[in-house]
Amino acid sequence: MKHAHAWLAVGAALPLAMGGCTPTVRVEVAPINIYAKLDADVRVRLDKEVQSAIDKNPGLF
Amino acid sequence: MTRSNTVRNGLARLAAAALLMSSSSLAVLTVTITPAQADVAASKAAIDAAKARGIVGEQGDGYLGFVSSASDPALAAALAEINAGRAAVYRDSAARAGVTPAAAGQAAAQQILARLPPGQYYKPIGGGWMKR
Repeated sequence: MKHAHAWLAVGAALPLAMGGCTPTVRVEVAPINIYAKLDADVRVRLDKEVQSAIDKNPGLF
Repeated sequence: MTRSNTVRNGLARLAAAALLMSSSSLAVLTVTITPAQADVAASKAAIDAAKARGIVGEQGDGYLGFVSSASDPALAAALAEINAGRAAVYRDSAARAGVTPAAAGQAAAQQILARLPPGQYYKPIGGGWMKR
């Protein structure tokens, strides 16, 4: 009976302990793809917007 | 007579107080705006000097970064200020083009790299610092 209780306790604690140890799976999407994967027309539009933004903010670039 | 005098007096005081308040808030406004602009200019100068010395470089995400670990807190603050300004610019450009701010930052990085003077540092996404 005592043993059963002990195992119960272990059974309850195990998932918790494992949860604490489970490594966080980081799905890292290669960030370069964000720009490269844009549709060509969107990229042209974005390039124009960014170009004018850079020209308008000489204090930041 | 005395009563209307008191009322008039009170009104005059109120007007004076309002004038004082508005002028003082105006003073606060001018005081807060001017140094902020001066700050950005000073930050830009500090960053340009650090880039020329190879301490700071341009990254593939469109932001500035330290080539070696940051040692000067004032320079770190300048870098953070410029990057915050760039973040706002990227948000705006991204909204206009219908893309994410990260995409706008990467698009900017292409153009920043194109005009980066030789000898200065650049770090492509997923790579290490390289000298242009």
